[in-house]
Amino acid sequence: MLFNSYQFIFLFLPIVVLGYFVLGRLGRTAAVVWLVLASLAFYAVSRVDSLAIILPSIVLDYAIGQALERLDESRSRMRATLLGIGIVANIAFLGYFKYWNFFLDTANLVFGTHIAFCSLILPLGISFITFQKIAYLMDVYSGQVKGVGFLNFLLFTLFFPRVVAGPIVHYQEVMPQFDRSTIRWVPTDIAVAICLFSMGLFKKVVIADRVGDFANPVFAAPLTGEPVTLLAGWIGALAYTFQIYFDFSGYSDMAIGIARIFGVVLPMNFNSPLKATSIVEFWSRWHITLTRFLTAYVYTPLVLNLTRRRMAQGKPVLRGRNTRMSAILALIGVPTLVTMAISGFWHGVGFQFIVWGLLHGVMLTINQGWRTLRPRFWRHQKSHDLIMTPVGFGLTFVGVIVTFVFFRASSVSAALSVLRGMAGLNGVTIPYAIGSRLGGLGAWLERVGVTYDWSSGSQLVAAGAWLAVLLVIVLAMPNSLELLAPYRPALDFQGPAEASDGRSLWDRLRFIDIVQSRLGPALVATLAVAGVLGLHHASGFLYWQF
Amino acid sequence: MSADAGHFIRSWVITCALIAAIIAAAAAAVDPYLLFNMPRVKGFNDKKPSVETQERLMKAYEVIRAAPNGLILGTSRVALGLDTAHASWPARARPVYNLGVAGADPLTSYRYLQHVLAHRDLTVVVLGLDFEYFLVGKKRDLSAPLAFESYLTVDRDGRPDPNRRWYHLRDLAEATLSLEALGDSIATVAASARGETLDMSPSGNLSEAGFRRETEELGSAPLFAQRNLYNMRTYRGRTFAQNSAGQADAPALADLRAIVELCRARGIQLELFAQPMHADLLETLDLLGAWPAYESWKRELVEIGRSDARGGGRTVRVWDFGGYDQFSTEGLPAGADRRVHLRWFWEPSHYSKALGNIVLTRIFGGPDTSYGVVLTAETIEPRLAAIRERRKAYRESHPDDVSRMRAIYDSASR
Repeated sequence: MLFNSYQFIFLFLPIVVLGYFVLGRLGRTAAVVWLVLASLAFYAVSRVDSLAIILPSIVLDYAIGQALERLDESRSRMRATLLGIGIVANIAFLGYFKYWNFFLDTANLVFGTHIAFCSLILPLGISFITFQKIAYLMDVYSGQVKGVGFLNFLLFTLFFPRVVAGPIVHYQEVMPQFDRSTIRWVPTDIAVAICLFSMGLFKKVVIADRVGDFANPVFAAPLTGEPVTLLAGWIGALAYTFQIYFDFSGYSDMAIGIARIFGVVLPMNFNSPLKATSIVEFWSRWHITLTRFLTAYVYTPLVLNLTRRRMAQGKPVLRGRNTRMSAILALIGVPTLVTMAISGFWHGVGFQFIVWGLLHGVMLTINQGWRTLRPRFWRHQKSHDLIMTPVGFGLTFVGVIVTFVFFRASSVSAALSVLRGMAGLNGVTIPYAIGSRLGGLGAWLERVGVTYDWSSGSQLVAAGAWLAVLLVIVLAMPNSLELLAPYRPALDFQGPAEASDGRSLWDRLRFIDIVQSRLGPALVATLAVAGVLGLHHASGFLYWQF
Repeated sequence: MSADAGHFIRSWVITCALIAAIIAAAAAAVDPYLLFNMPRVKGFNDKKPSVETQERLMKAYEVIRAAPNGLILGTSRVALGLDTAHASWPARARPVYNLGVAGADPLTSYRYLQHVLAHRDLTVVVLGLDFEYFLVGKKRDLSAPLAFESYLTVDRDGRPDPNRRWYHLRDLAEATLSLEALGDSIATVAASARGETLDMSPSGNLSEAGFRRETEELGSAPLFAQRNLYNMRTYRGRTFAQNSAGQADAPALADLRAIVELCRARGIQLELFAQPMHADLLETLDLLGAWPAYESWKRELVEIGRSDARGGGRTVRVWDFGGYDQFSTEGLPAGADRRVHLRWFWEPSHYSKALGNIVLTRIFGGPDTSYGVVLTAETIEPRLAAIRERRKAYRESHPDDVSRMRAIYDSASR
């Protein structure tokens, strides 16, 4: 069941909310049981066989967690073994259901075998649920989580607002929020929830689904052998960047908003990533809870391990601006590439996702290496910031768009085909309907090698208008969390710092309180109604496929 | 802060309800999809440009209200070219409704015919046939209901569709409370205020304004070039299917036979006609190697007409307007003036109302102008031979056009 569906908005959600607050009068347990049942129903409606697969794995993780809790700290080897079993079991579970056929396909390709594919069900949200459970086991292992009941564990794992695509949370940051003596309707929570859900619905239904129409034909072209030309390639790549941006941002807003109805504040997952002035900053703004997970459980342990090894071997390690290149490659490059390759492969089945991850790994390594070494040869911070902030923004923006081509394309070769077009290797064409009206400019364009094609001129104008407006929104407008900053819309979210008295129009916009502003209800209602009006063409969230 | 939040929630709920109500009321008043039978007020909502995307929905409702005795079926070519108000229509066929819809294969025509016959009897049906729709390309599952079928009253067996009531509610909701309806309502008002626009008349005729606009944007020759390239890419690789015995076996032929049988069973005069095509499209078919199939297709049409006669009915006539003649060989304008367009064709497959009028005149008893031949077992081969002869003559007299088409074919093959 999609958040952006009539069934969810007008049937499922109202029943669950009503049941929660009515049963909440009987006590916390009744309300939690109700939420668990609702979450099971939400998951089962999507695919009941998914539930049959995922539930045993949840029970297994709970059992391992219980055993870890009971084992004395002194039996560290046993505890570590148990944790290892839990992690391996989770990865094997994910590997089997999500990647088994990919492995078979790759084996067939490499060894020339003809092993038949298995008919496997891909449980909904398996990638997110797996990471969620691994985070739980790690937290129990480190002693941060204790005394978890099975009911709470079920709710933690399957809580319907975030079961399919996150945010990926830690047990202790969410579950204590359910430990309230009274369950009551808090108008502020509801108002914040309405704002987030309305904005999210609008982003998904009105923006993401529609701008995606400009990207689809470009990425379909390599499949039919149609060459992608320069302008079409860039429009397709930019349109897809905006599609996935608004799709995932919209989903995150809706997930955080729905949880807020029940008084639960989820962690921030998305914070205007395209405003980033470096790729490191981009990853601290895009899919924040995944970055947090991979940093904590993959990147940092790898860096520590490699650092210890190098120290033991007497090799140089990271030492600020005096760091050697070999240390940068070994202690920044290797862990970053490994982490991002895992991130890419986690996102989707296919080499194109690994390439996407590796490219981001390379960009992150360069960025981190630059940060480490830059003070050695560019000491003046102000001049550096003055020049490198816009340069960094431009490089990051283009890098993100270009690498998203791999994320969207159906294969590495299809991605390369689009990139070839974006590089101008398939020529530069514009619609005849436009080119033939450009007069002198048209003649000049022809002289420099631009040719005409029969694509629709009005479609190109529409794409240009859409992309220009969305560019302004993603780069200049305050985001949904900033608009709700006074109400703590998400965990870990720091609102913009208060500005001085002499506020510009722009500052006033940034500090607008959408709940208290006079036009707030009308603005949010317009977004909500527009979102609902677009529901009959609803499509799934891009991140739900992962 | 809690009081502010309470105020926010109340205001939000009320505003949502108000906005939704206003949009629904406005969409119903403008009635872009013709679902509410609102009067067409000049300058406000008299034009219906939404026919470009919602034609199947609009005509499914409008045709029932129009209560026609005569019906035009086929693709956008008949929707554009055949005029329901033309003087040649016999009295018993009036009022006539033009139920041609864009991309309608014979199955679509059959389903719309069933839909109309579930409501009323008909006296005359004119069905325009496009050879391209009998070519088999990508496999598609025709057993599952197609999207447009939910607009129709009966299922494929002619029984009332039990889900129709729900579909009707869905149609009403989508015609009032959807972004598309909102956008189309605005477009309807804007187009009505503007005047000259793509439009659908109350009897289902498409206005020629859409093609006039396209022609003025691109120019006639470029528009032909664009469509020729499109046609070559679209029809390349498609075949006129044959069974193991070498007989034509396209699913569309079975659907056509179903139309013939339905008309015979209901005592309806059926006029089938192979539609006029510009010489560019005929050349396209030949370049793609489909000319023998085009001739086989016409022979199949004769067979279908004969089988009807053998079944006791003599209600079907098969006309052929497809060939090299004074209309289809009209040359493209050479100048750069975008306002100049052909008299008989808007592009290679869509003919003008002017030519459509000649077709109707010929079908309904006009003088034999040597344009349009009734295909029978006796006339088919001489007719095919005559077309081949005229093709030869055309190519000798139009070498530039032949090489122009060859160049497009080469670029489509790259």
